[in-house]
Amino acid sequence: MWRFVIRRALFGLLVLWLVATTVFLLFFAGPADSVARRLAGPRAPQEVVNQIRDTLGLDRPLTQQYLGFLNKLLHGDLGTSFISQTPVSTLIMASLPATLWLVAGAAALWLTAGVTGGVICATAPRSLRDRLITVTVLAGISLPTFVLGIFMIFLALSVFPWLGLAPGPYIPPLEDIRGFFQVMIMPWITLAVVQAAVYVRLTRGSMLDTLGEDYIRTARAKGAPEHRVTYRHGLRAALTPVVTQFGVDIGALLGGVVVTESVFGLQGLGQLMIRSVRDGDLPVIIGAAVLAAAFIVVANILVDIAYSFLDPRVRLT
Amino acid sequence: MNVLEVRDLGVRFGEVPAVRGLGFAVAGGEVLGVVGESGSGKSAAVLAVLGLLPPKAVVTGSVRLHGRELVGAPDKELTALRGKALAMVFQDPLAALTPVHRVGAQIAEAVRVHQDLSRRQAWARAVELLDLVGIAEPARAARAFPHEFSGGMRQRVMIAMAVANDPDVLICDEPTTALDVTVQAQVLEVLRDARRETGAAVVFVTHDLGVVAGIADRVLVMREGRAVESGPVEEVFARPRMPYTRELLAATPRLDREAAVLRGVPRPPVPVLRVENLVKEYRRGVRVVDRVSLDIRAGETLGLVGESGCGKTTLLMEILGLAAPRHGRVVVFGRDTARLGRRDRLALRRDLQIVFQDPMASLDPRMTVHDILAEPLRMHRLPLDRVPELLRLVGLAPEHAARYPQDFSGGQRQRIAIARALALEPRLLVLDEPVSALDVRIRAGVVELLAELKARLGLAYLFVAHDLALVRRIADRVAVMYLGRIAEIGPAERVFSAPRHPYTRALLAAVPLPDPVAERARPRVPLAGETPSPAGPLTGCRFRARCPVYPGLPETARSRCAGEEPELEGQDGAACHHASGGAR
Ligand code: SF4
Repeated sequence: MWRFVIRRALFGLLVLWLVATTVFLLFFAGPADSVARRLAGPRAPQEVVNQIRDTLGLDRPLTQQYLGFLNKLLHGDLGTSFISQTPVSTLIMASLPATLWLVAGAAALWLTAGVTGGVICATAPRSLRDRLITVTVLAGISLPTFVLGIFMIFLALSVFPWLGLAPGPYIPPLEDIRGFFQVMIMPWITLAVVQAAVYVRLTRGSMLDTLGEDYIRTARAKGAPEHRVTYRHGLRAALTPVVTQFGVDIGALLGGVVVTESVFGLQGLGQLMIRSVRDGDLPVIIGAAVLAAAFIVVANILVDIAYSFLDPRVRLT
Repeated sequence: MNVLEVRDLGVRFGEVPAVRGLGFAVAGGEVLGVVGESGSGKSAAVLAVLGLLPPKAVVTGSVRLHGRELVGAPDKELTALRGKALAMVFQDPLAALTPVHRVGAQIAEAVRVHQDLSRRQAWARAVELLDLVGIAEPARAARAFPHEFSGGMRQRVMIAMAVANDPDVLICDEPTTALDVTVQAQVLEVLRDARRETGAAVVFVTHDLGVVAGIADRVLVMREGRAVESGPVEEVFARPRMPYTRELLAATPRLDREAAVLRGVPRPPVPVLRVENLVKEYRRGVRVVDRVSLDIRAGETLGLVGESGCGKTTLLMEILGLAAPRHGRVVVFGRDTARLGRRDRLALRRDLQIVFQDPMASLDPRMTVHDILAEPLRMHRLPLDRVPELLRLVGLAPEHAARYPQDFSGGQRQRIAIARALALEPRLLVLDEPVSALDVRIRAGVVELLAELKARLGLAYLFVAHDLALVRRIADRVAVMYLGRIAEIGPAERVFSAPRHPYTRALLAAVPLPDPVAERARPRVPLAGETPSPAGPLTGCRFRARCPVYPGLPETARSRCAGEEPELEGQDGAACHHASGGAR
């Protein structure tokens, strides 16, 4: 298993290197002046452009710039934001907790609801409750996040104001645990509703396949009660595709949950990303991109390790 | 006293009846064999007894266990009975065991749902049961997962699970079908023990008349959902009353009878295929095929037999690949494959065709039969007007060329596959288990066809099969493989009537005879163990660990077995230091 982790980690580093290099080339390839102009924006005065060229050393040969860029990256130095003049790592560290908590809480909700819903559907396919859940799920998938989010804010402020639920800004749980929940519950539910829909469908399909297997019949022939047959013999094998999807989702979402964060005014990575793209704040864009890639790489390794726990036939090699 | 009584049982899937008006009864300690071909409704019938059919199946009639009605009984009652009074052993034990739980846990579960035991006690009982069904080192084996077991061991686990609660009725649905013949013999032995231990009434469903002859007290023959004939096993086999039963018995090849009818006509001994010292290695020097030599002459059938893991499939693939082997030589129609150019290889492919086991998998469902047969002709730029002739050759009507493979039965599909192989007028046909997927009566027809084609077209066959009785019926010569090597080779009649290698003798002894009297008169000494992995260290004779002769040999003779690998000499002999020409 350790050999596997090390190999995958090395492979992950390769991916990160490719991402970093691509981003670098995208922004820095070309003559120094036009690069500086691109970074400064079309309306910036010539002095600003010159200043950018000098501080970033755009006159140096590209390879030298690239090596400098990589060297800094390796030391965790992501540069300094053009706009706020703060180190990028500080900006990211400030935004990370909101996104992390948002994704973690929502994931717990959508995984529980999605898997339970899927199992309920699969144990009685084409029944009334299967149909009901399927319809609800369709509604969940087709509902745009921001509509659901705005609707929830409306409910919270005008129908249940005594609950004290409010849209952001983010409050750290250690500072004020009550406030933390009051801020986070709505975004959790919003994000979870959309995600859970996918998981219900996934679990239902996978569970239906598993429940048709011969070993399910064997378990019944033993006289095992139905719930035991469903959960002990059916669900575990059915979880593999769910775990795959979960890994992909978590990895992608940790990079920034743009819409949900905006609706609820959470200052997470998604917001940071949007702002820096709008402002053309290059160092922040690069930092956020590399970080998002890192999340996806790590999530994938964790998924593969989870496989080997779910299914003893899977060998980590 | 009848333990289980079934009366007027009917099973319908929607509008399609699977079982109609079926009745039978089994007493404690008795074995009822239920035989029938695929689609006879035999499996549906026994699943209906346990109430394990999918919800869309409609079950009518009556099933009584100790006089208690089960059809229409509430689910709760059935669940309480299943696994306790009524236990079942299923066919494919890999699919039938939950892959993610340890085998010990699965057996312990069967114990715990019906008995009030602690986890620890249930686990101890599971280990005990594994021991009972003959699994070595049961305490360690209990911690294994199903995929770490061989087919035979998995089936033993299934049996352990079924007898865990001392059932009154034990239902076995084709419990040995997926197994090798020597393993089948072992598993049947375990089932016999299980019946003796539990005193259960056994319902044994199978398509194999030989197995029924060996294990059943009474037989029930089923066809299209109905009982055709039933009675004591000796009577039904000796004096079948119904034409269908007679037909089934006649179509079942017998290992103990000579059947020279399907042999080839003698031809000048021109070799079409010669394999010399062929070696196929996988990583780290594991030899899956180890110094194999054989040859096939024009118009001759060489039967290649051996159990799973013996390397016969790898050998076939090596021959069919027409590539230069790393060690040894393959000479096809007088041409060494090591010295072939691309063009030569393509030309040689015309002369060397293959027919696979599963015709459904090898025929493209989106192509009409005409297109399927025309494809090889097109590829070699030959006129397409041979298609009708090809269909006639395999006993199909040329008018059917416009249909798709799905419109044909299994036997007809295999005929189409044979016609396709014949399209390019090959001289050597490789038949890889060509009839294993077919029912016995259809099987007989296809074998007949193959024999006829051989005689008419002067084809040579390399016939790979695990059904030894079938090989005896069609092969001129036989090669028996064990663990990558040929254990014995020789004229079919000699090998079957006077086998020299202990393995050949054990293999032949393990094939059940479709004759209750003869089958029961034979001494039962199943070969112990299963084919080991070729990765293990090999010194001396590779059959030594399982050889029934070896333990009884004097010290000096034994050391020869242990120290020196026996070699096969020529094309008629056995690779054994102490080979005997004696009787089995
Ligand atoms: S060589 Fe010895 S061990 Fe091998 S098969 Fe012959 S008698 Fe048995």
